[in-house]
Amino acid sequence: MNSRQTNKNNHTISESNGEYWADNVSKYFGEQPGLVNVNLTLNKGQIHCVCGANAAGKTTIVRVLAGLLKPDKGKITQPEKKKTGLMLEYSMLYPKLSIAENLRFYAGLYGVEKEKHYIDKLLESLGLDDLKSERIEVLSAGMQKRASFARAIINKPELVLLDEPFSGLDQQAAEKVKANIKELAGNKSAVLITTHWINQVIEFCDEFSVLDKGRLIMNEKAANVDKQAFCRDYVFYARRNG
Amino acid sequence: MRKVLLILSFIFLTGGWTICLLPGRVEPAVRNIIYVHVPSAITSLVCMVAVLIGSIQYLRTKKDKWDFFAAGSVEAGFIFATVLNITGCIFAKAEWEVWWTPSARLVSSATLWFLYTAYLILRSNTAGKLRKKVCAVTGIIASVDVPFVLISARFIRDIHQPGFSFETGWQYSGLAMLIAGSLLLASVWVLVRIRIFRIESKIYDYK
Amino acid sequence: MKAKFFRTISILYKDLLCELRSGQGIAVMILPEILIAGLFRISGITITEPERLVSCVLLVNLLFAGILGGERTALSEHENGCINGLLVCPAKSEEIYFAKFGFNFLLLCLFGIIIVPILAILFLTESNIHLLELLFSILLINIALGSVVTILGFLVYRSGAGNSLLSVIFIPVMLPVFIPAVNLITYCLGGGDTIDTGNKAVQFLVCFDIIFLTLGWLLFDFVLEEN
Repeated sequence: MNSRQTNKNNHTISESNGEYWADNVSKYFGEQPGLVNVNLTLNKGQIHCVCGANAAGKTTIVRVLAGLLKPDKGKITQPEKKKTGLMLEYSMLYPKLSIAENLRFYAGLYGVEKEKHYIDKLLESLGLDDLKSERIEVLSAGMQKRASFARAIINKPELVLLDEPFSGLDQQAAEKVKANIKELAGNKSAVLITTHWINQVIEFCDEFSVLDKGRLIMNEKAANVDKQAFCRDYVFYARRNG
Repeated sequence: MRKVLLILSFIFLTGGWTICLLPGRVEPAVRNIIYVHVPSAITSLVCMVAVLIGSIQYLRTKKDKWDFFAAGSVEAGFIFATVLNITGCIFAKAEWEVWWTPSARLVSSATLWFLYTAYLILRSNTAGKLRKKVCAVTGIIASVDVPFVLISARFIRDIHQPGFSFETGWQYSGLAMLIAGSLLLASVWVLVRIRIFRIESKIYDYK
Repeated sequence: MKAKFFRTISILYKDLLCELRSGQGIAVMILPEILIAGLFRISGITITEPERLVSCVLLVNLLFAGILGGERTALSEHENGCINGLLVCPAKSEEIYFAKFGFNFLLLCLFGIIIVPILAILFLTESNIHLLELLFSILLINIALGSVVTILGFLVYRSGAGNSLLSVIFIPVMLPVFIPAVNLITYCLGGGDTIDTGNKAVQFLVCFDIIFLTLGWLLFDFVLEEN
């Protein structure tokens, strides 16, 4: 059992156990429930998908696990800061800097070892090598999304939190991002993906959860689920809940 | 507790005014405004110290009662700072024939008032849990600034000096009673406001 | 320690690079101030103490440049949610604070270097300037301005109260700096104040700088953290 420390926010920092969880976590925004008694486990080497309608709590769970939000109740575990990768709906990239400059900046902050051409290889894997000198402000939304994904994994994180990584991406770009996600899981990172569209992730996730108005209404391993039926039922549920 | 403090403040204020206006009277009559001016000054400064304590304690403990304490102190301090500035202007007109002049005391009073106002504006424009934290940080910065305000005001080339000082024991004791009465009145305000804030937050939670 | 210093410098360098490429900040800060100084000159007011007038105009200009800089520092970090990128990375709040303070300080120093000769040309007929003392004084004032505006800029931005509120809270907090600084700069420009007043003002400013830098460092964490 690896030793665990507790930081000042009462979050447990796991050294390298590779298992991260949200334990009975609740978060309220005034009167609105963001999360209500959510229990979630993320295992290393596995890709966990969290689905839900708008305002279900998908972004909230990502932000809570990243340490950006403190839960009102419950506990979370997370690795040290430099081993967490985060991607949100906005790119978190400086508009006046180029893709490469942004990545070099974040690589410096994370203290990533300067492998030769590491950033170049990463950008090539995402199809951004031709655009590495372009400023973020001139890029399209899809390109910014890919650049944001690169920023999220620049530090080879143990825990990767991706909030709707496929939104705004075309098929080709989405395939490149999926390939990188699978590689992360192959390197024993724990990956959490949130999405509206289950069919984007159904074939490569290891575990599924569904959030509804902050509550976890389903949590199943992919092996135990008929994926086609699940997909169908989820689409029906999504349509019914608008 | 609030009732006891209110009664005590009434006794001190009444007694103090009786002493100040009869045996402790200053000539000419308008100079007696100093009996309002000085207690207001001291009370508004004490309120600023209370804001500092409340703000630090809130950031340390995250308990709402300290935020309510700081906010109540700011409101009390604002009222007394307003009285301080108005009476200061009246005194300046009586002494130096101008409503306002950049003298050390008047500049310090005005800055104190602006610091309280800034806190209140910030508080009313921020919502939720963030408001308490923002106000606590503002409170600390404002209260740490106050000693610097008082010291820096002495750099002003103050060509106007007060033309009198207290002489008799009646004047000093009257002033002391009024200071005590003002402090008690401010503490009543703070306690009432803490109670109102508590009720408001319970209503909010209930909803 | 080395890693902390490196992260601070990285954030500072990034801010300077962004500012250089946008170019808005410097132009926005300098041009209006030059116009204001020109307005004073054109107004035809009787200048009995030109050194004191120059020090007042300079300090007002620095004050407003500080406000503009502080607003921009907070705004630039919230574009594209970049502040979240800083919050999840290993950079601590004090590293971010000192980087932002360094950025505001350097910008104000650059502004001071540009505006002082212009004011001297517009208002001063005789030149009895103690240049080294003047530069040192402006450095001290900029440290005070930078340390306060960095934390207040972020505070006001995160409160969602609107950037116009920054001037409401910034100016009263900076008033204690303004008063002795006027005397100090008047002395440095060869004005009537004695060296004794200048020394007292320097001691006051050093004290203010140390306390508010420390306060900013301690409180910045609370300003950055979300609920």
